[in-house]
Amino acid sequence: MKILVPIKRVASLDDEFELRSDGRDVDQDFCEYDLNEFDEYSLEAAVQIKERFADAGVEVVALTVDTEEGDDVLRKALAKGADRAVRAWDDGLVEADQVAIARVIAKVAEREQPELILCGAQSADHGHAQTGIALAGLLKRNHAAVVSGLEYEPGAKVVAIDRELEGGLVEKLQIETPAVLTIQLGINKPRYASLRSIKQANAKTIEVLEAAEIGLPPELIGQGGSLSRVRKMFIPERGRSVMIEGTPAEQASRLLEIVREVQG
Amino acid sequence: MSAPRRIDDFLDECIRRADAYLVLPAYDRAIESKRRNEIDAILFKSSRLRLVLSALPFTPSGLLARLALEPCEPIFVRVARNPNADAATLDHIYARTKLVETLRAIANHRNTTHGTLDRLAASEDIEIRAIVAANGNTAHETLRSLFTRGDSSLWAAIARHAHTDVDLLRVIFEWASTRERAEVLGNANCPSELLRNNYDSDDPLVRRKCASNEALPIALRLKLIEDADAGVRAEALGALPDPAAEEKLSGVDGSKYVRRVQARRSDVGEELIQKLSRDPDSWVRRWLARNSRTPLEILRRLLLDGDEGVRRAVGRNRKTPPDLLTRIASDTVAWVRASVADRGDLPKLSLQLLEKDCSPDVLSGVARNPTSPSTLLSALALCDDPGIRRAVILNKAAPRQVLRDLCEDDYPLNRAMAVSHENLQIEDVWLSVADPEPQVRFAVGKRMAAAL
Amino acid sequence: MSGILILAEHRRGELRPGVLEAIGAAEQLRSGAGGDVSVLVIAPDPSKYISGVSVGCVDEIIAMADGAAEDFEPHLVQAALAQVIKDRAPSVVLVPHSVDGWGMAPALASDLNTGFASDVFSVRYEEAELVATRAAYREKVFVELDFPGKATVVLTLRSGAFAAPTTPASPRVTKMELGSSEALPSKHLGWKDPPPNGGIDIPGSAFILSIGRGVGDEARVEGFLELADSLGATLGCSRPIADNGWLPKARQVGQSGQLAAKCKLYIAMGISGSVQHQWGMKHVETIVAINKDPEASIFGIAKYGIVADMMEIADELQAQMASAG
Repeated sequence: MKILVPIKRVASLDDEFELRSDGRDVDQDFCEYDLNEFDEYSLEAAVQIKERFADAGVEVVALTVDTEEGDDVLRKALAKGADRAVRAWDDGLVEADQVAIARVIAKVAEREQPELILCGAQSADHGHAQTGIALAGLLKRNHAAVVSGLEYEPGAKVVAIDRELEGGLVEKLQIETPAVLTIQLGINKPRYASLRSIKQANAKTIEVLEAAEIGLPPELIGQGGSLSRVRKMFIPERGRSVMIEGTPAEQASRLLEIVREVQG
Repeated sequence: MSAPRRIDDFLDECIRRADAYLVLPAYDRAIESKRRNEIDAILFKSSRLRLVLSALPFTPSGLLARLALEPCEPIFVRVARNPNADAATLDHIYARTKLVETLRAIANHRNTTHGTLDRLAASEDIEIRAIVAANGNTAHETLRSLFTRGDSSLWAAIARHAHTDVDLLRVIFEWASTRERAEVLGNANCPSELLRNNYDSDDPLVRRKCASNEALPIALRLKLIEDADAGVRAEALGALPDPAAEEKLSGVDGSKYVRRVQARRSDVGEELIQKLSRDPDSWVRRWLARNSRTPLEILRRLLLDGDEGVRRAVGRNRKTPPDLLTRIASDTVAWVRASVADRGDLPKLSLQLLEKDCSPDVLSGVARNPTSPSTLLSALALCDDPGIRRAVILNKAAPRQVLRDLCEDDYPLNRAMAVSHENLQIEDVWLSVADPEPQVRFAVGKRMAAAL
Repeated sequence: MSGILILAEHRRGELRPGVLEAIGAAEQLRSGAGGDVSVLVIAPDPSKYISGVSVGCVDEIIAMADGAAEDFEPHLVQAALAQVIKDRAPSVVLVPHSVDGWGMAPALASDLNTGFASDVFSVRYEEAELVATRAAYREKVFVELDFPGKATVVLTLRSGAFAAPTTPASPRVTKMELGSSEALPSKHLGWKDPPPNGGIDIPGSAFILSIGRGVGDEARVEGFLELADSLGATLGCSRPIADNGWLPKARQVGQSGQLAAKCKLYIAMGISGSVQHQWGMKHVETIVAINKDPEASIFGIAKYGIVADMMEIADELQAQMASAG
């Protein structure tokens, strides 16, 4: 059986940055890129199922919708235990929002027919928390979001899951497969890729799906397949901290006041 | 391939690999060599890399100076915030930047010249003036001109400044309100007559500041040790030069804060020590347990204290003898056992006992213990817990072979630290030259630059 | 296409706070959206929630009784909302950006091909266009979104961004039956309440004092343990402190340590605010940052900031507590 793990290369913005000249995004020079933190957990969850049921023949497929810049995160996924890596891209996707990306993932899912799709609950850069569940909506598949505990035996008809709700409350439920689950931080302890597996991953081929192979009609690629459009981005007024000024004696005194206020 | 033996060969390798992180720590050597142009090409390859290098705290000052030659505000602000930026570079940026954030960063920097700080002190921006007033480097003349400019909001910062001299402190005191006066009285340069005239002020903050000043005459200090306010007493006692007249310290103070200060002193009288060892406040007992002058029989008693923090403090006391360390090694609480796990004077049998402990804190301590035999360190280097493996790397006696294996650890920080360990030879370090993590390759470059 | 539809999210018999905030948001939009403001209640007994949502600008409550709707089942809620949307064609659908909202709204929007934006904290009409504002790049940038060609737009609203109305209302109640009767794919099995407050562990602590590299050495660490004790806080630390064995791993806050899961007040002293450490602080209500460096990144996420030497502040805190007795 297959577990599909869509992953994303996310941007970490420097404290000092500038917007792009068209004002619709930040200047990429100020971004550091890495694998989405949440995807570390969803990938680890998939690989743990594979390893736990080693005889069941579970294949973990990592997928990203990105230009060739996305190859780095796919190699990371391979090094952390994914069996195969797929990258899908069409230049028209530059204007794609999360749902338009989900349409591409859905097409790949139709080809791969995974039993489980494990997504990160949100992306660490924009935090839309949409792609996974939008994917489920497009595929008309069973779904659950913000999964903090997961028990699954390949071949079983149901997955037992915990969902982490507000205030630390946990909901226990079971959901029928095939299913799409979005995974929360802390569900497991993601492994570090060993140097050997990094080497092995670098030698593997990444399967690249071009526009024709993705199979989406052109009107659904990019903005046409999106449910929102970015008009502009802007930098909010800086200075989020209320600075407590004065001598250390005064600052300490104010701090003690805050302690009393919050403690009640 | 085997490790390069000469710096030029190393630089050639960096060029061949086009590796900015490998060559970065060797930059100062690189600019003296014939390869400087190619190395610059690697380091200045992309605008992103230039931004990253400007901000990295281990970028050498020479490279920061070169980076700042590019008239680019994002680079300017990063370099201005970089602790390695030197005075000339900061001046260069000061002359060219138009951004107030960058000016503030320069005003804050410890390397900024007196001249530039003085010019910044004349800024229209009050925040910049305030930052100059707080910069430890700012010269006396600049502080004086900030004062005479009349921003009373800056007087407290000027009053606290180490470079503010006696005369200026007197003037500030005359003009100031209580909050600034308190700061004057706390300043090491405070004129003695101000201390004498104010040590008995009605305001406890003022008295406390006098008490904190080491220049306060001892006769006045002894009075403040009996002040009505516990904060003043604690401060006065804390700054009392060591050793002091025993009889002054014989009484049990009503305030636990003062008793805690007593417990930390070396010259507490025997009677008082006995009383403090039975103090209801656990922190009094804890400080006593940590105090290297506390008599052995008291330590024996504190070893059995109900509070685990007290027992741990005995374990951290450098005077605690081996037989007590042995008992601490069998405490029921892991954090207490951990207190002796890294001690070189822990008896061998106790160390062997702790080897089998389950607690990661104890095992990390064992891994750091200078007497742990190599076989033990080898075993600990195979632990599942990356923190314990890291503790092995922190052990100065970690054997070469163990470290070589740890250079392949899954956890990148562990690899970087292993590479940096003195017990590894250059041949060993060079094996990590192609590590996927930049911080590891930086560590390799640093060793190469130091060795070649 | 007109009107605003709001989902009355509930859990364990209580209305979720985001519902009232959504009603507050609807107030801002009603003239642009035209039509009525309707609240959809799906529950075994919707009447329980009627008075709770009879506030502000609500014109109508759509009561859908369904025995399976005691606990949140995303597919059921999605089907119910889809039915009402098809029936009423509202301009805007408002759902709290809650964990349950995450589990349902994106599937609803993608299935019906409506406009969609999540974690929105500001929304308005510009002429006939709906414009929603949310954050990006971890709050460093704000984004304005619009929804060209979308007659209906679904929005999930950020918690606390809109004020709940206080004026009572008398909306009409419309009964509606859920058309679909498919078997539901998920089944609620139970709840696990979080462990009670208190205790010495970081995840359970409401008040944490955390120290970073600025502390300097082990001897000073003991002084901060004392300070934390005196303040009534649990002492936490950043990774280098725990790595050196100065504090047990259980006190380390951050990605490779503990999550401050229920912390109301977090005082960070001498911590610059690395991404790894910030991970451990993401649920904290109030952060106070104390750092010598005015440019430390932690000031970007702290509610209060103090630029000062952490040792001086620590000494002052001790002295003032001593004075107070």
